[in-house]
Amino acid sequence: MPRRQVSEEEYEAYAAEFNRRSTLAQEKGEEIRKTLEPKLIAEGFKGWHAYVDVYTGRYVVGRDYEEAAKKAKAELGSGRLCWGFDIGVPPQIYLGGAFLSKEVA
Amino acid sequence: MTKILRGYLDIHGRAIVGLKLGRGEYVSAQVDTGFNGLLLFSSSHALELDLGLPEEYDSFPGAGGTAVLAGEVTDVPYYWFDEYRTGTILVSAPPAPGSLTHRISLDEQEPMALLGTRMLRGCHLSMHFWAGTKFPVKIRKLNR
Repeated sequence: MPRRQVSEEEYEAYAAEFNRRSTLAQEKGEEIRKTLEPKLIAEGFKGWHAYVDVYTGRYVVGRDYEEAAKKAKAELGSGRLCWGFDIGVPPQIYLGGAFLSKEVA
Repeated sequence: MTKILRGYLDIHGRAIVGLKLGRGEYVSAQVDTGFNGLLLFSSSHALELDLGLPEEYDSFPGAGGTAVLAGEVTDVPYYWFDEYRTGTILVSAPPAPGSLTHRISLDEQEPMALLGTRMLRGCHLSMHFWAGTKFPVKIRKLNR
């Protein structure tokens, strides 16, 4: 599989769509999280990871983000836009700083 | 079966190993012990590799405790010690549109991924920072 040559225009379009989707997912997802997270904690899912489809409100939970992501793909179908969070605990995945210093800073 | 992956320290002192993706593409991956996930690709490299736009997004603590948006792409195939695997990788959020003049260089030498400690489970990582070591970075798979 050869690496593709990506034009500035293509990357701009990708970046715009990525940011549109991630911003929307975060805004809607955090809104849904306010009521969903206490419910999931009460059901015994504290420490698990949830993905909620911000369009439909449907959600899945998994023991970690990978299991939850697989369930989201299988159970929520295509065309979804999901926001994920660790239920009742601080985020479990820590990103390194190497890319961030170049791309975000 | 391969038991040791050998890597090197690049001119910036970063630990680099080769990683084969499921469709045959070899990429350079930077071993990052500050990242406890599997693999993280920059958005520009995710686009180059046709990984697609994520459908799941999360906010993660980044360096310095800042919250960073990233997306997940499921079922990305790769080889690890010659073993075919699939996993959920992360794609870091690109800079805000219009600010791309500061984005990462698409230099061929730039590592395309971060390799996190989740990949290193069941392995021994060694890095030698003195000159003259032929393979200063080694990841050995332990037989357990």
